[in-house]
Amino acid sequence: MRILIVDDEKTALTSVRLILRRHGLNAVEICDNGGDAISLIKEKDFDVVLLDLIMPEVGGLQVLEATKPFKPYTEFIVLTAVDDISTVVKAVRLGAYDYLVKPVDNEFLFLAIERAYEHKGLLAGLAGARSAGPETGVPDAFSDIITRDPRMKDLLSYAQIMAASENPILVTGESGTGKELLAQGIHRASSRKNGPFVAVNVSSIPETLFESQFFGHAKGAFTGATTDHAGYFEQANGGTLFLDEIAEIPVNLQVKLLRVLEEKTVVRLGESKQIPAYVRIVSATNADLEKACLEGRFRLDLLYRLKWAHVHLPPLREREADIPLIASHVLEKACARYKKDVRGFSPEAMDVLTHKDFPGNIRQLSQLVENAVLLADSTQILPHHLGEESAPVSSLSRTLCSLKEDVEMHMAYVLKHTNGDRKQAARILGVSVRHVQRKLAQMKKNPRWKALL
Amino acid sequence: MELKVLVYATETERSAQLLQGMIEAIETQVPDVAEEACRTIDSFAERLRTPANRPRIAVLITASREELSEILSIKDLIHNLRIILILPDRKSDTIAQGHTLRPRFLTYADSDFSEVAAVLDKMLGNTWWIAE
Repeated sequence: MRILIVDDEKTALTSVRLILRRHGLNAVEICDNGGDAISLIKEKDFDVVLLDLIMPEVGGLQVLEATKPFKPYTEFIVLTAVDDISTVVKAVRLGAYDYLVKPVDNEFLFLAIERAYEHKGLLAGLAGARSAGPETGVPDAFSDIITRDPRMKDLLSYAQIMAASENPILVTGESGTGKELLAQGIHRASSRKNGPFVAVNVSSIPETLFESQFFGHAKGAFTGATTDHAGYFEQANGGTLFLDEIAEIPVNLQVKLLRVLEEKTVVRLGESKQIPAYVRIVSATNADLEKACLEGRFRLDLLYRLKWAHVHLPPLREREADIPLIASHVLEKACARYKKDVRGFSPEAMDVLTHKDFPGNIRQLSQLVENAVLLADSTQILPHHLGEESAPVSSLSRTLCSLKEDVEMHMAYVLKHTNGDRKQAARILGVSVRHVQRKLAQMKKNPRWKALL
Repeated sequence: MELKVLVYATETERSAQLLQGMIEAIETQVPDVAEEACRTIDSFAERLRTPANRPRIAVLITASREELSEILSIKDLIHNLRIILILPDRKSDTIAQGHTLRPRFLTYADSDFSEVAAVLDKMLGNTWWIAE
């Protein structure tokens, strides 16, 4: 978060800067007059400006008036020595987000800054969400997530908004629902996108290695520490640290993690020097953390610290309409990866996929499709490539579906029978060739039929 | 025995030494594990394209920046494996490159491989969706 403090009192400038730095806000600049402040605000992208209203020559209201129209995403908190309502009203009308009366209580100051920063994130996120591709409706940063599901799109827009703040985000969802992809999207949508994204699977780290892996160690700190080692917090400095399977962190180490999150510094094992940890935390779990707190397996204060914002990813069974889309996407990628020429799924194979249970969610679906691509000996994925017995399709077999789907299924069946001959298909169906062509053009938009047509 | 760990290390002298140390550490601490080694990037890529007996975990030993770059060039093939990555040095850009492979555990060529064996042991104790 980049902050500018504008005040003609030099002692106020330095003391507020010191207070903010102690609170972990290090990117703070100061300016002691309104004229220079206008230039600085226009030149740089500050997130929050703390602006004194009463200054000689160029006052706070003039600064606000001259800069806010050019910097709509910079939030202003005005500081006033007296509780002058009329001036505050003017400032708010000119676009100030909040005001504080001097002398300012530190807690109120931090709270106002955090709220202003969240507001900025909300505005930027909404703008970003609006700029999402019209075809997919998915924000660009989350384009790796394949979906047409309205609930997923809403959720991604929310994640985009929250990504703009620096606050920790907790992602929950069953195994294989794409929690890490979402975390990567949050990183890309944040101001830290050019910094590192360090993903750590907490459950893989043995308890004995946890501290040295997370906080680092100095040479000679313990037997086997032959060199200095930068831990995950240092490796992720300036970026995002993704803590997957956070519920697996041992209780005795939770307090150490909490301390780092609160103090925003780490101390390597075997050293006493505090190292800044300018890291945004995104954590994920498929466990019920509230229940874990009640059972004493997870600290409530750590949960609150990690769950500033919460995104829950739905399981695949709650977004079944995405199955053909995801399957087609995985197929395309797998063909490129394994150098295979498989163009799509037979209707029967797609039926298998859309009616199958995927307790492992997208990961399981992806593996099934990838394996099918590897096994496929034709240009189509057939049911037996998906591990299903190949049953002859009965012309009388019916499924519960809409009339539109029924028409499409029959059209596909006839076209398969005629080896794609549209004239012959039109004759069998008793419609014009043009009607068949029109229907086919519609069906080609559906990944389910794409391969066949 | 079902293959559980695929180890990649090139045929250079340094890689061979690291591979030797790694195998010893794994066999001492995780004696039940079935491992297989690939010594060229092509054979490694080919192995990953083979559907039969696909590995669940890959231990990738890179003794130089070039070897790390080679691994990065086949990143798509290892995306659904649980990776333990051994980096050639501790420079921040090497570490940043290493993290793009999304390793489960990342360590260095000058480290004690007993840590890798401990991580492997813990990973094998977990349940998997990968190639069950």
